[in-house]
Amino acid sequence: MNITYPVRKKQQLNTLLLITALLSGFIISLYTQSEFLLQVNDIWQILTAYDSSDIKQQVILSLRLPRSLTACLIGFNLGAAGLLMQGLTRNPLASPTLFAVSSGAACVTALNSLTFAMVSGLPSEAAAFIGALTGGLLVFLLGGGLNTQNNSLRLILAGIAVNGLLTSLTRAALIIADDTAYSLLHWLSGSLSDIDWLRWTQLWPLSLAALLLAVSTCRGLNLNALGEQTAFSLGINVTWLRIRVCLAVLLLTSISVTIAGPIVFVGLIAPHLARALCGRSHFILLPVSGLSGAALVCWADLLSRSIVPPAETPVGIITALIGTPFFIYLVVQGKS
Amino acid sequence: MTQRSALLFFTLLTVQLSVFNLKAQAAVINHDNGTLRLQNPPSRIVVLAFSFVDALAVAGISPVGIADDGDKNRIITSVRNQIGSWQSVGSRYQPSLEAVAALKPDLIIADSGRHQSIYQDLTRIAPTLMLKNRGVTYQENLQVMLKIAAALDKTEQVKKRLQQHQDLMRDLKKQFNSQATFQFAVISDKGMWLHSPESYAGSVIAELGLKSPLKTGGGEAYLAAGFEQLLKTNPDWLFVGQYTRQTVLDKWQKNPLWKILTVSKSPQLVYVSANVWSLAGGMLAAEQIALELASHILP
Amino acid sequence: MSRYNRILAGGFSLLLFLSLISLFSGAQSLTVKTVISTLINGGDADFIINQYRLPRIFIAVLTGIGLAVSGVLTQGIIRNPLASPDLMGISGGAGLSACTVLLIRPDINISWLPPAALLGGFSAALFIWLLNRWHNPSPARLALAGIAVSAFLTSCINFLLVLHPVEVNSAMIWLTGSLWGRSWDYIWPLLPWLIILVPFSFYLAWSLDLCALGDETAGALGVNTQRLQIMALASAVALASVCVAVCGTISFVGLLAPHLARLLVGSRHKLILPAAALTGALLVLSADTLARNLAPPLELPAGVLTAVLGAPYFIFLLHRYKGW
Repeated sequence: MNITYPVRKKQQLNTLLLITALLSGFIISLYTQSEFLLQVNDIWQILTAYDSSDIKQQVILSLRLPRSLTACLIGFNLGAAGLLMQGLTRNPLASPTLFAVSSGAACVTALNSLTFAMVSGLPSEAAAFIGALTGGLLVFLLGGGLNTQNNSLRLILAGIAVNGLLTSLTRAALIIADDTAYSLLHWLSGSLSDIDWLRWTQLWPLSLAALLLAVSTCRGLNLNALGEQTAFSLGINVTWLRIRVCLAVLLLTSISVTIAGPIVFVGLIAPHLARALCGRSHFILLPVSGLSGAALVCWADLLSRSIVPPAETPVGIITALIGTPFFIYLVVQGKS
Repeated sequence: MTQRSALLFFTLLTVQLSVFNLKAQAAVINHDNGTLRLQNPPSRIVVLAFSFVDALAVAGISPVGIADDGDKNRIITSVRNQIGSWQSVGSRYQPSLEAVAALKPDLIIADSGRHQSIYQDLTRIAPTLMLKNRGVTYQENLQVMLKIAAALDKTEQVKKRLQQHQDLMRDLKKQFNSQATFQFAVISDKGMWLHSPESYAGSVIAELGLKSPLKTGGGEAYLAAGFEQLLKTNPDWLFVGQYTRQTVLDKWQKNPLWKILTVSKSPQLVYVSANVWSLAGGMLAAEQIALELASHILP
Repeated sequence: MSRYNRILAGGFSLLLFLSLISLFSGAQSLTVKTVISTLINGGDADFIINQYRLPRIFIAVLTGIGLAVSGVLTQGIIRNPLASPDLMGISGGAGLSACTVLLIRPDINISWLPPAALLGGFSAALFIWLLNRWHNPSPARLALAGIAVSAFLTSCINFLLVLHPVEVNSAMIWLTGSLWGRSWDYIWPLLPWLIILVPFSFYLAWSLDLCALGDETAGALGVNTQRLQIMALASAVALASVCVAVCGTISFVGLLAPHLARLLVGSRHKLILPAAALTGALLVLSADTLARNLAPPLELPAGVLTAVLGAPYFIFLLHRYKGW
């Protein structure tokens, strides 16, 4: 059985607004705050009069474009992951940050960098990915992820405990790393400053696969929204749904964290934005939440470059500073 | 009457003389936490930062304990060769006071930036000098070195060596006479950090009359740089100290924009030891930096 | 002897035993005879024993007690297993303001840290209290809001650290919590607060037990619930902030000690409080002893070890907790 929700005019308008916000952020981030004094005109030039020897055009094409694209895709991933988690747990406070995916990646990366005297460690991407998966799985299993009985408070508690443990270990590693501490700290706060096409090619295929998996869970999530009993009676295998959703969430967030470090709270805010804009069907919510996430990260990245130019503030700090007050608002709003 | 006044005069004179004598023996050093008065030159010295080890090596004295992070190789070779063996007293961020006390030092030299919170404890173990190490520049470090020399009663020897060093620096400066720009940076797999003239390596480069590609001002010692900033900075010479085996530079070199950089066209991208250029910070380290620069720049 | 007394006696002897271990072990190995003669007469090892190991043992025990009692009070008021000074943003607030002081004026005298930490801790608590007043959220949601507040404060700290890269290390050590270099000088900002607040907390615990009978019964017995909550919260904040000011934000102690105590002695605050205080002291002391002795002469921050000891236990608690 499928539930269909009518698509209203207002929702289409909202989506349009969202896309405009995203696009404008995307375009501004292509040229703003550049050491080369780029202008919108340069982007136009690329389209109309491409010149491979022009430095400005090359900067946009080989540095700015991959960065902006990556920012958007990571935002999309995180937004989608947040929606899946909230849909599954029916808890508006659930988010990938709570899954300890970010802190897991941060922790293993920091520990890995301690092999200081150039003893071969893991490649940093592998380290981050392993950490992300471990952190996530730990919370998933400890939070009773395999039980059919849904228990969101327990999941959140497990997330907090695992997060606390991993954060302390990360700090210890930072203290010991000493002279590289500030370089690590930058990455650990989530940074898009070092993105190139190589990163993009690492990012998109896995993201695509994970997003397809996410789409496949939408029908289940729509029914799940009516309550687990109802979903079960309508022929949904809830355990199987949980496993698929968690796998999708883990993949989406792990890839993102691996590429850009922990960018927190996007996965929390985006789904709320999406629900406010476009109703309840997960088929529509998924792309809209993704787009909201993309717009958020894109603008946060813009902001991160403009606070103390030419230095960059890690984008993860910006999203955290925006995200936490929102989280507090959400918590206080819903009286249970 | 005359006898008595003569006696008085003599007594006064002896008192005067003995006071004078005492003053001649005691070394008085102003440091960051006040004044330290040392009756006898110390012989068992514990140092809690690398640049002070350098100063001790110049004075020809071996420390009994160093906060070396448990890794003897962190002391650069040129310094290590000039001092005898030492005991590790733990890390620089949290040196074990127990290990320090067990060595029964008669002087402790600590970093006034890092060890402020344990100053009281250190003075209970032994007389303590608090001097600047973290964020120190080349000129500041020379002053610090002279203070250490005064504490050790080795001022003559150190000044002589300093003269040699300054001659060398002046000589090199004359020979360099280059209009090119020079930049030192540390790199890791997480990014690149440019060391401005406010940092130690940067101030040594500046001392040698070499230009920095960075626009002055800001006063920041370390600047995080993405590829775009590096492109804009575009130094003629780039010296890099690696912290990890794989670095962002490996990736940047594959970027088509890499060939815009001056350092891509000529062998002017030089890998150097991060330990010497960034971590050590002392006169001998500065000399090593200067000679390394010379070996690359001078024909 | 009742079971309760046996538990307390057991905990106390364990604490004594651990203190002895801590006294006899360290980077410098000393014979039992030397240690004892040093304790009595001073002498060569005077600094190591009397000025280094001994004050650290005392401070570890005191901070452990302070954090644990603060945890019991917080959980008592908010009636939520999650509530604890570190999760409610109180440690975070104290940490942020102390960190700001450290980063902006790295050469400042350390005696300024406790007032700064107190200020930060109270501001964070005030914010949560106001939140509670305006919106009156359920206890679980209040705890979540606290977690969010502490996450916000942490990201503020990160922001500061990124702006002041040179001082990252000192700030990190402080944020993790460490007893390194804590001498007798640090006892004085700690002890008076504890002497006043811990007995006061016993009084409050007694009233909290009356509250558990229901607000009406409590009112009939002469307990003003509102005032009790304010007093308990204020004591909890003061205790936590003072401990944070002295040792940095040592995590998991305030959360874990009350849980462990409840597991051992049941749910009455009067009984929990001493048991929790003992547990907290044990936790911090063992963490610090380990921190000194894992790889001497290298020292680790004790806060890392409380997390390593505490987090798995907390997870274990979650596993067996049935009251969802």
